[in-house]
Amino acid sequence: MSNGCGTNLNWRPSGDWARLRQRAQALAQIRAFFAERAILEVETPSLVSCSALEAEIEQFTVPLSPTRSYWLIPSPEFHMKRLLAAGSGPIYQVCKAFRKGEQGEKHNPEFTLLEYYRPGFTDLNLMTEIEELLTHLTGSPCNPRSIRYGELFQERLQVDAWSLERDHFVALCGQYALSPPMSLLQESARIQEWRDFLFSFIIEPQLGNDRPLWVTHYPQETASLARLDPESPQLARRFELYINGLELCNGFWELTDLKEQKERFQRIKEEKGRNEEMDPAFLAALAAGLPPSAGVAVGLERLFCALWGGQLKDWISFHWLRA
Amino acid sequence: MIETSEFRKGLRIEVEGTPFKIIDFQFVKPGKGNAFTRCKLRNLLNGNVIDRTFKSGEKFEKAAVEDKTMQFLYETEGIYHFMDNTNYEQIELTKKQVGDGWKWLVESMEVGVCLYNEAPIDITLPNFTILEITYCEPGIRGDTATNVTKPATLSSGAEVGVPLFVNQGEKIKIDTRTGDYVERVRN
Repeated sequence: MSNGCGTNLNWRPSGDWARLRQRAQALAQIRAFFAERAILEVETPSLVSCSALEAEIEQFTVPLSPTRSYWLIPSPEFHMKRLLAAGSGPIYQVCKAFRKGEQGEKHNPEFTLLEYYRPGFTDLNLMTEIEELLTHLTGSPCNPRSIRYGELFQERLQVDAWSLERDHFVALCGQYALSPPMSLLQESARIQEWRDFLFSFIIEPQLGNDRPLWVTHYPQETASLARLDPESPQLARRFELYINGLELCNGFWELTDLKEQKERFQRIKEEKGRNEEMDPAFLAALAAGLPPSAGVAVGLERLFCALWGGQLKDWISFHWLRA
Repeated sequence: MIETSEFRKGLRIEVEGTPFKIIDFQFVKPGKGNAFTRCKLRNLLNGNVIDRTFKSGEKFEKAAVEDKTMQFLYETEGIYHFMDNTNYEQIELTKKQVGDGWKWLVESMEVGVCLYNEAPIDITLPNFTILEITYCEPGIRGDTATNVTKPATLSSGAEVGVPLFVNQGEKIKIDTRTGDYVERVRN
């Protein structure tokens, strides 16, 4: 330093140069993969007029004027679906997504999503294509195993996820020396809170440790924007990929039904006491007709960690503590 | 009130009427599911460390403790002695109570002594402190381009990672909350 008063290193990137170079290369490979398949790269706004009304995701708000605020997107889903409804055909984008309160070793409040949609695909078709993308990135076959959410609880915890009761939950917490939040021990606790807790602390750390693992057929309570299984409507056609205990992507066989979408938003508003308006442009796009599609959001920094090692902060030039 | 997203190491919160200090915490959340914050907490009354998980968004009172500036005198057989410079009263803390704080304590340093119902239970260190390196491998000149570190022993007895260009005998600034090297300090 020219003033001779020391060398503060906090201006420096948190990222690791070798990984940042590999990141750039991987992004080029991803774009080549989609170009070859004639999937159109698009960009949609990060700063949007309506909330996504996600039950368990909090969004940042940004004031536009003293009386009006916009939202930072937790994913570009609504706008990409508006493109699909307008006849875009298959599309993808690589963009930043923002989630308030999500910060930790596996979470950066701002992160990079690869989000893409395939009209005419089912969840199963899209899972196959994601496997091809991973093979394209690593040069070796991806070869995952697949298991249903309910089977996972049976296999790992020997409990029935669908009829889980408080006593089972308490016994499992004791068995694994976990002390859950008080509210999960009360009468008012919801079954999905128990499932999320057991999943996060017992099941997830082991997922995909020997080979990549698809988890499919999530509980209907967590359907989000996925359609329900036509044969068993207590299950949602949602899928996630895990490698080494890291959740890498979330995909849906997309819900296209306007009435059901409105009901789901309404349920979130009531159960969570949320007063945001339902995005009228998104609902109008569903009314105009969203082609049957499958879509997925892949957390790219996490994917790179899973494929090539390192921590999240190594793959980000400046993680949130240095942002 | 303090929300889980404001948690940081060293923060003192009241849980069910008992003051605790956050030793470590981990944020866990399935993409579409409920978020939890799992904590390692030290009970400030008995020194025991417990594991507790909270729902993210839960709020806590700041622990009802009072910090008094005192001077660290010395340590013998695991007892740390401090003095209140306003009235020369001396107080003692056990090794268990001082916890990881020992790493940054050097004689005559001023620290906050945390009192709960007037009894000393913990110390509060300044966020940054300057310590001398008493031992490390010789420095490599000009190497400021990498994040690689080497171990260095400090005058307080703690070992920290420092950049390769730093030398024995030099003074460095440490972030006591993380134990990280911040910068080299020239006299």
